[in-house]
Amino acid sequence: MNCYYHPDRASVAQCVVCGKNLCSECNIIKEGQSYCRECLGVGEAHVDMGKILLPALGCGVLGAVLSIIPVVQMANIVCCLWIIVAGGLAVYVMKRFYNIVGKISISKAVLTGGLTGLVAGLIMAVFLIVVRGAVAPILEEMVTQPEFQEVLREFAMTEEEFTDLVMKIAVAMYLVLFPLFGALGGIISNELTK
Amino acid sequence: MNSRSSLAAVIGIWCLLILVTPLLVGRIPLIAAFLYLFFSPICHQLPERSFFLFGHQLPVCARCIGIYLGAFSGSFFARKNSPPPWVLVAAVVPMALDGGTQLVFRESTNVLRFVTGLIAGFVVVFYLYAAIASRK
Repeated sequence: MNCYYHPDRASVAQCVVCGKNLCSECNIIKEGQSYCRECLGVGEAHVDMGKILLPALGCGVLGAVLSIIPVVQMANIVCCLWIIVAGGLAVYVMKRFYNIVGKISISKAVLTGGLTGLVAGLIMAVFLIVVRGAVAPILEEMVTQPEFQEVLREFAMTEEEFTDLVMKIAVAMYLVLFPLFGALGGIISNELTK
Repeated sequence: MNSRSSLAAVIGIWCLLILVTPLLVGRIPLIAAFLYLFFSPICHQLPERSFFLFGHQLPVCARCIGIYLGAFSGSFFARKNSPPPWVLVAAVVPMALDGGTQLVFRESTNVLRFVTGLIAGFVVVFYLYAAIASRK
């Protein structure tokens, strides 16, 4: 007989309540008896928005701070590492804080991590607007190249207007990419702490 | 489309965007500029730490492209059960050591950055796929 949840795996036990066949991963032993996740109520744990907000906010702020501190921020050069870590941490903290056992649904993990990334992205966007330009070093060089000068002439844009446009797009990128990488961290953390 | 194909497609498109950017510099510079900008929040884009394709720099560094290509190739081998957490640690440690030590006392090479990134990306996607494939 194969596992009810994993048909490609052999079962090692049966749930004492509903009789489902369970593989070693799905077999939850409590007081010497085998249970499935439904009967024991430890399937994908229910998480409401209230539980998501605080960890996402806290870890988002932490992710942004770590992304701003000189030297420490250098970890972000590896695919937004601090944002991935912050998204993952938010899921972990939420589980610990609210005593959630097992996995939460992937949508909630994405939401928690994504929200964390969004908070960090918003802070970073404001920081970049206020404190320094968001122009990538490579763009500064590119704008001086003949191809770019030609494009600027074609669109009747000055270098300043172009830089202004670049700033706006860069800020938008933070608001897109940080939630994306935060969500990635949330998914991986949910899997690691299941 | 199953979970594996979807994941591979998403990562593949991401990699394609990176690899196609240098090609667009001379042809459609505005789109190339947008792509360089798009990737700038998630990579330092230092020329000396990046690969060049057709005479133009990739929009992400050697380590980042290694991670993404590793994730793309790993998506074809990932299983529904995620490996134990220590595997992730073991895969990320070489990259962390390479990246960490070069901040202090040595300079890494693009090949080493790429290879350590490739290993990390290859393994990380196993956890990602397990999470996606096991959802109800």
